[in-house]
Amino acid sequence: MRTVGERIARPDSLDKVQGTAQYVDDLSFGAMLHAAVVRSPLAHGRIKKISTAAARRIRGVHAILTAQDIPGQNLIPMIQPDQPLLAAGEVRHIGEAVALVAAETKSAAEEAARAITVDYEALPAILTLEEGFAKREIVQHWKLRRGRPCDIFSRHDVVVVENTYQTPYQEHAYIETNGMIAVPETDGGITVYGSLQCPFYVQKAVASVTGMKMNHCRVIQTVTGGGFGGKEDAPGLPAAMVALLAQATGRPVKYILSREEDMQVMSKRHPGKIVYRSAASHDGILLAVDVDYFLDAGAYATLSPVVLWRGINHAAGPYRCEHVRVDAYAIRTHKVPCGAFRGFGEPQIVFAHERQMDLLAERIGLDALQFREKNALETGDHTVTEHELKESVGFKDTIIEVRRASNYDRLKLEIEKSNGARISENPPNPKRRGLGWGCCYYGVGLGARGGYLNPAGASVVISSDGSVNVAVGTTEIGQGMITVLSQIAADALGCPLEFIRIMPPDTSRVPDSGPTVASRTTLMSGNAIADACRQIKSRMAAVCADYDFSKIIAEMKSQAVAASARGETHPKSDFHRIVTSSYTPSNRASGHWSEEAWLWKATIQRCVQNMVQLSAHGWAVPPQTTYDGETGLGDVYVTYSYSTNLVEVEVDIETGETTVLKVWTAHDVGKAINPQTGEGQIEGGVVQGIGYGLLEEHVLATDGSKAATRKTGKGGPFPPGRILNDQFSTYIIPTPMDIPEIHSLIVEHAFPYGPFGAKGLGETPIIAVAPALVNAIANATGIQLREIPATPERVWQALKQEASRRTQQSPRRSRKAASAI
Amino acid sequence: MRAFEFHPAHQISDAIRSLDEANGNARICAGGTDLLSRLKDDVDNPERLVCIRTLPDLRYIRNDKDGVRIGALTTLSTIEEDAYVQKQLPLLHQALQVTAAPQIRNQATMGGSICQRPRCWYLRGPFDCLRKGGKECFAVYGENKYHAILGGHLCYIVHPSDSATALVALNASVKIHGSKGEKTVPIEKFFVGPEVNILKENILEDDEIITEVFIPHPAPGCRGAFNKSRERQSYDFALASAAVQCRMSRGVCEDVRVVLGGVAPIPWRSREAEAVVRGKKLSAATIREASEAALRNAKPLTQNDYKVDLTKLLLTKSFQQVSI
Ligand SMILES: Cc1cc2nc3c(=O)[nH]c(=O)nc-3n(C[C@H](O)[C@H](O)[C@H](O)COP(=O)(O)OP(=O)(O)OC[C@H]3O[C@@H](n4cnc5c(N)ncnc54)[C@H](O)[C@@H]3O)c2cc1C
Repeated sequence: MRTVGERIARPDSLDKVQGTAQYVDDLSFGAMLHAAVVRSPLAHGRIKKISTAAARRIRGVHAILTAQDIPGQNLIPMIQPDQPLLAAGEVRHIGEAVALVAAETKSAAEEAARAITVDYEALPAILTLEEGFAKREIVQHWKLRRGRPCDIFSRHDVVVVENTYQTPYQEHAYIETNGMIAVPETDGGITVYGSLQCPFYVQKAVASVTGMKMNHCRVIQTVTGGGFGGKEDAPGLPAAMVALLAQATGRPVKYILSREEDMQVMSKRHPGKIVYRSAASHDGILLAVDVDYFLDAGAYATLSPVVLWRGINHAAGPYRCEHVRVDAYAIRTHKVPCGAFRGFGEPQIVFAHERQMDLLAERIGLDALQFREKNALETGDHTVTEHELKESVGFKDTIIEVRRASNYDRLKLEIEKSNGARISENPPNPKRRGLGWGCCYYGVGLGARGGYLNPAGASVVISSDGSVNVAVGTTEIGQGMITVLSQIAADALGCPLEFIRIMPPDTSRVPDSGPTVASRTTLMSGNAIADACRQIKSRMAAVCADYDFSKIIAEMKSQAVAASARGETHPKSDFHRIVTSSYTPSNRASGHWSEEAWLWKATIQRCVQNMVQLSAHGWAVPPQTTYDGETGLGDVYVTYSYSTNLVEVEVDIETGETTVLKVWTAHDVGKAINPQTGEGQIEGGVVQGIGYGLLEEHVLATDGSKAATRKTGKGGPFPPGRILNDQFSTYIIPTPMDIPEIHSLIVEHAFPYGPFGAKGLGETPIIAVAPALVNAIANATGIQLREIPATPERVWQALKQEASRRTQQSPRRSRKAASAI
Repeated sequence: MRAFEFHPAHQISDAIRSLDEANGNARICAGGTDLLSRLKDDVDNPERLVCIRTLPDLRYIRNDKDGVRIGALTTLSTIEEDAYVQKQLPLLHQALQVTAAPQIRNQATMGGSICQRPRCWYLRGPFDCLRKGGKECFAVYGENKYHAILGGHLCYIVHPSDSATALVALNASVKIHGSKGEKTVPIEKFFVGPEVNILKENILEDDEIITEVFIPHPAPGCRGAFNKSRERQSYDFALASAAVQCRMSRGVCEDVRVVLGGVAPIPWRSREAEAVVRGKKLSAATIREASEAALRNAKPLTQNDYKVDLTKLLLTKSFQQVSI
């Protein structure tokens, strides 16, 4: 084990910062056409007529397609396949695609799209979760039943806290919008290039609508500017669109979404509503939770059932809790379909349970940290789904690490003192500091409902010069997969890192390896690579075990020295090529390889001469998981990652503005294959969590004036339900100026099944930041927010309410006091 | 984005002719940071762009005996870095430092920054609103947390420009060139509310160009302060802002201009607040009274009463800063 655990720089970073990385919009193919999409302006309506005649007359237009032109199925295959590619008869959300255009230029395509007129009959639209639930528009209902919560809540000797929480939409805000190119192949196949997370989902979507066999639909991921879940299933739509247009025209077709279009129509984090009741004993034991959990799924099911499922499985947080009732619902509304987003159904419910933990602690009279520690899951405990935790439970250590690094006990006192001093300053200083905790755990991988998507494959091929091609079915989306998998491959083969190349994901190279989601990539692709490497290593051992390499190494070295003395850089003989090729700049300068590299090259040389098969396909299947649909109980995930956050804020009690000063964040990751990429994940997650907690929300047009039904002026009807802030100037995400001091702490409780003990880390960093933030605001000011983001306005409103509540109480008290005298 | 003709202008007269010919179907393009996003959003579809970045001689900051003259194409970052501005016009300097972000200030021009269009999401979306010639302002009953609390009349946009707020407080004027010749207008008269024109925020005619902004030298003893509140610390328009420019003499406020930004369809001069403090010492009580007076006539919509309190606080802060 030599590179695992090291801080290895990312090989793809230089290309990205120099602007040489080839994103999908940088690619171009001969005779390529451009696509535009006609989209619904209504949240709900019936399509009466689509007129395309005028559009067809526009110069450069090659194809206009509507639902009836789809040769395959007008359906995106998903868990509950209900989403058409092009609306047929009815539109169910603003921005739903109705028709496709391909033209010589982008502007011709857009002009044609505008020239297509669609007559709609507006239908009543469901725009809120509450209305959808009342109308029983339920996409999915999951249950969790453990113990007898009713008995606990009816007891008189328990502390009960009940609240309703609301969480907003969140935008993935990937730096690159969605985009795809489809290229027709001469044998009738289609190759799709694009920005995506899950090549096999895209492949299925393309095969479904084109009616082609899957082996004719080849999907290649281009360098992708971020995904965060937003490129999990959603890219299937633009991919299927360009594939259809390429099929219809016989020419390559490109479609890159504008930022506004991407924000209007692509997936987002589900808005959530959580009605949460918890009970604890007076000595601080969490006894029961009783929860109704709602997610606004939008118009189609997409991934909502599984997003919801992950939420319910973590409903009580990383704590022991024996009595549980949870009902979780994904509700259908006439809005943009929501889907996967880093955290996947956890951030919503974690916001609720972590607020509850603080409120319970306060009622019991315990420090928020003490209360959490008292109930923290440890080895041998059972999770909320009765999964017995047999190993790799580092939760308590994450708490200990944060407490140590932040010097919590001293910091807490110091802040209390400083707040006290500020009140008496003249003029009074309106800034108050506060500390807040937020903890979570995260079942790694897809879990028991992942089914056939769980396994992952890898292909490892060693060339005769010792260099290695590794292909996997999961993707680099900025999280550092290439780096981490290179390290795993290098160490598993025992070769130097610079010999490894991770190939761009391509569905024709490896079998379906499931999606790049659920923090499963290091674990699953890592294990698949390890499996392939094991096969190759054992074959190599057969011819190398007792062999003395010194002679062959000496011969190779002298050849190399002679070649470089002649100034030769181009290979002449085969052997010569093996010796001189793949010099990296550093070893070319020094004229020789490291001893380790010589040994590796010599070993490969010997294997080649002995006709050893230096390639293998690896396959990884996770350990068995279980799930009972009636009770919701089971060993639902293979293992869990744990995380603890402490956030320090400063709140201006006059304006309601919150500044995040510091964050301490600790994560049990099993094993950090590369601490540097690990810290990158943590810092990025924290910042995204700050956005979720403080800033980000979509504002939808309402029909407050009943303008919805009134035709206004020359324009069409007013479109209620439309996202009003569909740009980065109005959808506010944190900038570098909003980033606090972040202390990333890594805890390693190895997971025996994981590659080198690794679990997963991609998602835990974002999950418990928002509640920690809001808990800190409560600690600083005394206000108890039940809704995020905690914008200045919301904090100000809450401060005002709190102040008026106090003034209403205090006169009464003083009157009483007066009469007593 | 739809197709348009692109006319780079090499002389002011070219630009004016080109604008005039187009009969209202042309737009001036300076830094383009505002205009291009309107074109991309498909809420403004001119047939022609008259590019004025090619005009020579409109990038300057000149000091003469009356004041400082800033050419219309001078970028906001150039102005921000100017030594005179930093020393004599701290109010403008402060306003520029919290405008957008460095990348945008490198590109945005003086003229463009005061002529930029409002950021109302109905105006910038596919909504047929009053300011686009429609029949209704959707903000009244709709989503209006960022909208006007003062000076709204049928339409409730807020003027987005931080520099405009500062320039009104500094009693600046703008030089305008058009087919009919050249004129100089006090900047306060340049901006017009919806009661005057529901379609435009200023008096510029279709064939007119701003060529210069003039700021008179502040009298000795003048102090200025600009405070702005926003949701994040960069790249963000004002929730509200408050500019105070004040001539102090022996602790007494001799003369003062108070302008509020982000709260009204134009940079909002508060004569009410000015009246309270003029001739007085800036005591805590006077400051409080002035801040109350400034917002006394505020009429918040359904979702923006927050801005009333916020603006009072910002104004108090600005007064406190000039009083020290
Ligand atoms: C993300 C973002 C954040 C921002 N934040 C802020 C902020 O916090 N505060 C703030 O004040 N602004 C902010 N802005 C707006 C920015 O200041 C303006 O976009 C910029 O000042 C416009 O200048 P420009 O030269 O690019 O103008 P252009 O985009 O070229 O033009 C803007 C308008 O002015 C007209 N125009 C330009 N020059 C002249 C002239 N000489 N005579 C007549 N008309 C002219 C144009 O026709 C056009 O209608 C922000 C912008 C962005 C994109």
